[in-house]
Amino acid sequence: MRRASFAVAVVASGFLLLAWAASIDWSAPLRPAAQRSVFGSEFRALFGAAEDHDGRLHVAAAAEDFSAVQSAAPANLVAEELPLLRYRFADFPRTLELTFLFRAQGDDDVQTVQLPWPGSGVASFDLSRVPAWKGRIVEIGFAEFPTAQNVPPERGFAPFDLVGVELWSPSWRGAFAALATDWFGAWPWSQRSVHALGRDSDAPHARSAVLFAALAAAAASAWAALLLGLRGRRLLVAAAACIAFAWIALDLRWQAGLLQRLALTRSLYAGVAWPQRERIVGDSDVVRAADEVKALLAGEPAERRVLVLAGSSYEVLRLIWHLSPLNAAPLPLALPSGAALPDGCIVVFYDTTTWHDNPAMRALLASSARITGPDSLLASGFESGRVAVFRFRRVR
Amino acid sequence: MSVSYALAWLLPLLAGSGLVGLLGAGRRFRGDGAVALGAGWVVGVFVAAAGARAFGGADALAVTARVAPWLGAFGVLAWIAALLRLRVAPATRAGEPAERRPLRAGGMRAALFWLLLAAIVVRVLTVADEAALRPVFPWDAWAAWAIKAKNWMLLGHVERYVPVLDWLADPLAPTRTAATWNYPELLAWLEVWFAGGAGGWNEPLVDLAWCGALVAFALAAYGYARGFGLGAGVAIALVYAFVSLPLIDAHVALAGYADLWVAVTLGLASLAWARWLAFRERGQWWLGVALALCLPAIKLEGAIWLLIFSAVVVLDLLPRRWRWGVAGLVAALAVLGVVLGGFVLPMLGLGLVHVAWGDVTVPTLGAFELGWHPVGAALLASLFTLPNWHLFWYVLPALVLVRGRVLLEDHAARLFGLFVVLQLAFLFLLFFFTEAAAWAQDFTSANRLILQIVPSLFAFAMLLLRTPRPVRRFQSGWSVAR
Repeated sequence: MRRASFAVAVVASGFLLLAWAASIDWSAPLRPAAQRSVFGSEFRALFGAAEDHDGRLHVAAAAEDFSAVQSAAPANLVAEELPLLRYRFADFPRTLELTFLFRAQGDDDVQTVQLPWPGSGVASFDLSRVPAWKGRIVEIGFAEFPTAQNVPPERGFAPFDLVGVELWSPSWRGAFAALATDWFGAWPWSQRSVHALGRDSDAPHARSAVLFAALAAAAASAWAALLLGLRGRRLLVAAAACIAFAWIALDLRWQAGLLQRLALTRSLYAGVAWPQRERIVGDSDVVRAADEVKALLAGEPAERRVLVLAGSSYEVLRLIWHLSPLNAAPLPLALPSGAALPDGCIVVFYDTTTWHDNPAMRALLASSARITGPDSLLASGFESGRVAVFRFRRVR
Repeated sequence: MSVSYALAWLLPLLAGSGLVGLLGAGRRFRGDGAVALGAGWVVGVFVAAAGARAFGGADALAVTARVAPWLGAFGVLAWIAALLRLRVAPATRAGEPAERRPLRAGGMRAALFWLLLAAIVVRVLTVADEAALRPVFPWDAWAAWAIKAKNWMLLGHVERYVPVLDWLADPLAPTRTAATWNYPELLAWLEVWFAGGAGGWNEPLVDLAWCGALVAFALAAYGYARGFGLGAGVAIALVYAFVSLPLIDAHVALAGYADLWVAVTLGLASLAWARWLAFRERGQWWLGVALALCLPAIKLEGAIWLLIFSAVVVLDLLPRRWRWGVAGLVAALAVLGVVLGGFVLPMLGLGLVHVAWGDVTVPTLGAFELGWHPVGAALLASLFTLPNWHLFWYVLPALVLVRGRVLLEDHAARLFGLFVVLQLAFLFLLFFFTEAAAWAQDFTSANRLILQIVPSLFAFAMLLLRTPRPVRRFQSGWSVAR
């Protein structure tokens, strides 16, 4: 009897904690009282090309910038009444990341919510976590981008189907479904993953699975003391078992996440030899710029100083990385030092018009010779429009 | 996989395990084989990196071929010396703690042991697969830690990194510069060693060394735990707990940051020193000190961990009647120095650090203004709610509470506890009183600094879990302070 009551108490406390984690509205029904369906075919492609395929939207091609956007305009959609988003895709490629878009009436700004990789099943997201989900919603949609930092933009897109969307009123089922997507959704690696997991995307998250596991283990240990009457060493063993169980559960979740991340990595690199893999990076445009500069400087002596300026410090450092083994360093490191740039050194500008816009930079380069790059800021062409290279000569 | 790449892995193992075996040849403990393999590989890799630096400057591509014979010879000699020492003075198992509840084949605990081992293997294979596929990914990995090695390998020879002023002043000199020109270069040489073995710059094959560091620490930790008298089940559970930590796995899968190497080196130094504390095994003291001395050569903050480690190591060597007097005197002198306008602290790797009321100036890093920064919420989130550490930060304080008696009874646990307190105090000071608070607030470097001490916290857990026994003098020469 005591064991049975212990089992019931553990299950009940676990359920209550799950309900807390899912932010259940206790007054909500088990199933949604209202729901709206928006079939895939009701969406239209804003960027990229798509067509109706038996009620689904078959997204066949990305736009020139390798992204795709689909939108629909459901009538009479009140955000507070239908806060649970359920969405389904088919054949969604590993190499794309998904964002939900919406626009409220009277608001010109489109709001975006980053979603985990949708896989092939139905995924759910609780939009009540998004402060802007309020009022009358006049437009909803999805945007797909090559997975940031991981996937070369030109390799991201593959055709997929948008099956459809449902919007549900608050319900227990919906809240648990959203929690499941949040806790077990597939997120890609990001630059932030080595700093703090769980903060490696900007998506609003549900309550912490770690905190849930800790509280569940503590509750089970407390029940063991109260209902089974365990004390001393036996209670310690029981608590250790609860903690071990919770730890392993968290670890299985983490292992599943690792395998999801690995699946993306494999889709890019498996079976590709190293020299080719080196070029399959999220910043393939920087790789191409580096190729261009390296080809230009092929005849330069190895010790030639190359100074790099770009649109962001990330691009500066990435360009230097891809320019290796050229003797390159950031221009922003050299200029504040107060030292004069040596005659004949190379100054590379990437994805910036500073060389043209900034008077101080124009003065610095006044006697320098531009050896490649656009003649005009309006120059067309992808690479050549983004790289400008100067051989530095001091102003006499 | 080429023969030379295999040798790049195996020769450090041969040399390092021989060296660790030689240091521990006087006594035998359960798990010594795992310690020799795990700690030995890390020691061997550092020796190989030092060898690469000594002999590989002119021809970076041939560095492995040049150093390999020397490293191989060194390894063979170390093994011969270890075996000879064993023959002259056979190893004794005196002082080895009895194993509590050995595993029985076919029992439930044996099944759990194999399950946990399987989980460890699956995790290592998963993160190794990730590391073996992708180019260097995280920011500092390519911007700071791999750029030197990549340039040297692609150039075919080594060029010195100098301050930007020097680099600009002499444009014909074969020198290079970067914002990170003054970062320690042990990891760069380690990368050169593995790249040389791979036959050229090959990022996944270089980055697999991070997986090697994880496996090496796991092996050594298992061996040390067994040596402390913990059962095989508890030992494997601790190793599983460590290997399962998500942020540790992330640093292996997305290899390239220095923090994992700092963590593993500090962890191994802590384990070796813990064994010295527990059993007064002199070879382990030397191993711990040698590993700790490598810390500033890996990353600048390694100097801080070395300072803290040195402080407790010296404290332990002092006679008991002097110990707390000297500690009090040092603390009083520090306070007096601050009151009188500041004092200078020479620190290996960091230079002359100036400590004053309101600011600390580190020559290589700049000035840090001291002032309260309320970052408790962000730090608590990092430790207790974000999926970085599973339940580690819940379990560790609970373990200290439950096994607090050990801290009172056991000199080893008590002194190691002081080491842990000093580490945590440093992190508290750093995050709550300096501008490094921003690292905690924006969830960037704070977790990485915490990661650096996590392996030594596992060593602390081992000391708390063992059954302390009275320490007897084993070898004459050093007084055993108790």
